[in-house]
Order: sequence, then C-alpha cells, then structure tokens
Amino acid sequence: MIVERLVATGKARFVFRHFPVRGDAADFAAYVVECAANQGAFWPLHDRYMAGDETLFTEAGLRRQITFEGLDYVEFVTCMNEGHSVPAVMASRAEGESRGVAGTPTVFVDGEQVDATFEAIEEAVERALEDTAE
Amino acid sequence: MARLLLLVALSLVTLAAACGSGEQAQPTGTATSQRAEREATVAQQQDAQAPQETVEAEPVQQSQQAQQAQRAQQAQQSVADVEQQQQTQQAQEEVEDAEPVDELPAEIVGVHKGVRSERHVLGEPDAPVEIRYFGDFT
Repeated sequence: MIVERLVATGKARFVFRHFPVRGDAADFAAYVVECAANQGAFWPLHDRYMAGDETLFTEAGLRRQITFEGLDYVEFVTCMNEGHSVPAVMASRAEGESRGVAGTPTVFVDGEQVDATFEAIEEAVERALEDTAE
Repeated sequence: MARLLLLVALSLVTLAAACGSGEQAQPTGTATSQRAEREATVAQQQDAQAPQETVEAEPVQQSQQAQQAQRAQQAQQSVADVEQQQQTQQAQEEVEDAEPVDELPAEIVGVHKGVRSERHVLGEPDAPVEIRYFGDFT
C-alpha cells in the first residue's frame, strides 16, 4: 500500500534499511538480498522475502530464484561465501542503532519515527507534505 | 474296743484326708506350671510379634517416604509443567506479538514493480517526503 498510494503517486520515496534482529536466518536473508543487489536485483529478492517465501532459506530455493532473476549464481555464491554483503548490512544496522531502532519494523517519515502502520505512515506523509507546502 | 475302732477309723479318715489334700496340691502345682508355660508362650509370641510390628512399621515408613518422594516428584513435575506452560504461553504471546509485525511489511510496503527503483530506494529521488523503513526478512 505504501508503494501504490504513497510512492507511485510521487508523494514519497521509500528507503529500505536492513536491521536483522531475529537471529541467523535474518542475517542470512539480509546477506542474500545484498548479494542479489550487487547484481541489480535488490527489490525482487526483497519482495520474495517479504511475501514469506520460505524456500529462500534453502540452497535449492535460492538457486532457483537467483537463476529465475537472471543473475549469475556462481557470482552470487561467491558473494555469500566471501561475505561481500556483510559490511553493507552492518552499516545499515549501525545506522538504525544510531537512530534508536530497537526492533522491526521501525519507520521514520522525514526523520520522525511513526507507528509502523499504513494509517500512521500515510498521516505522517500527508502532514509532511502540508508542512512542505507551507 | 469300740473306742479303739473309732480312733482307728478317725486315723484312717485323717490319713485319707491328708492324702486327699496332697493329691489336690499336685494338680494345683501343675496348673501353675501350665499357666507359667502359657505366659511364657504368650511372652514369646509377644516378643515374636514385636519384631513383626517393627517389620510391619518399616514398610509403612518406607511407604510414607515413597509417598513424600512421589509428592515431591509430582510437585517438581507440576512446577516443571507450570514453567513449561508459562514458557509455552510466553512463546505463544511472543509469536502473537510478532505475527502482526511479520505480516505488516508485505501488507503495507507492497511490491516494487512499476515503480522507479534503485538499490534500497523506491520512487523518485526528489520526492518531497522520505519514508525510511528498518526491517528484516524473518
């Protein structure tokens, strides 16, 4: 809904930051998405994980999805095995900690933390737009 | 002569009486002996019963100890059950707390297709408002 009603309408841009707090699986998924992002496929993998695709926590599922997205699987595996995506995830997490993030999801609209509900985010965006117009 | 006969008769009667009392005393002594034997037997039986009572008392004590152990075990089990129930309840509460969080991103973020996208960013770079979303994928 954020994308359709707030981003696609040009009202706001949406920035995703990693803040893996739920153990090794969360770290793993963040590394996968960043390694896919190295080949230009951040959002497809983001969307699959957000949709709850559990197969992306298995080697076979990852191979299928990476291949489906037209990415180089060998390059992807090298990225994962050599930890190329770890610094990006750690930097993202450090940014969250500096903003006082303690759990997920945590949402900021123009730097102000708001409840992680669509209604609260939409209201904050509309209020920010009114402030900008003034 | 008659007096003599009378004396003799009295003497015989006296002797007979004396003999009769002696015979009666013997059964009395026998009875005392039998009573003593019975008492001794009773005492032996009581002595014999006392260990049995001790032996019988021991299982009772063992039984009580076993019951206490069983109660303690039941209590521990109850505590463990309660702790397990609490942990299960806590885990369920955590899951219930986490569920809306897990469901939230897919509902509120939506899909990126059809929207300009860069690494980590959806939408126009010069859009007036920034939504910054910290999340994970589990």
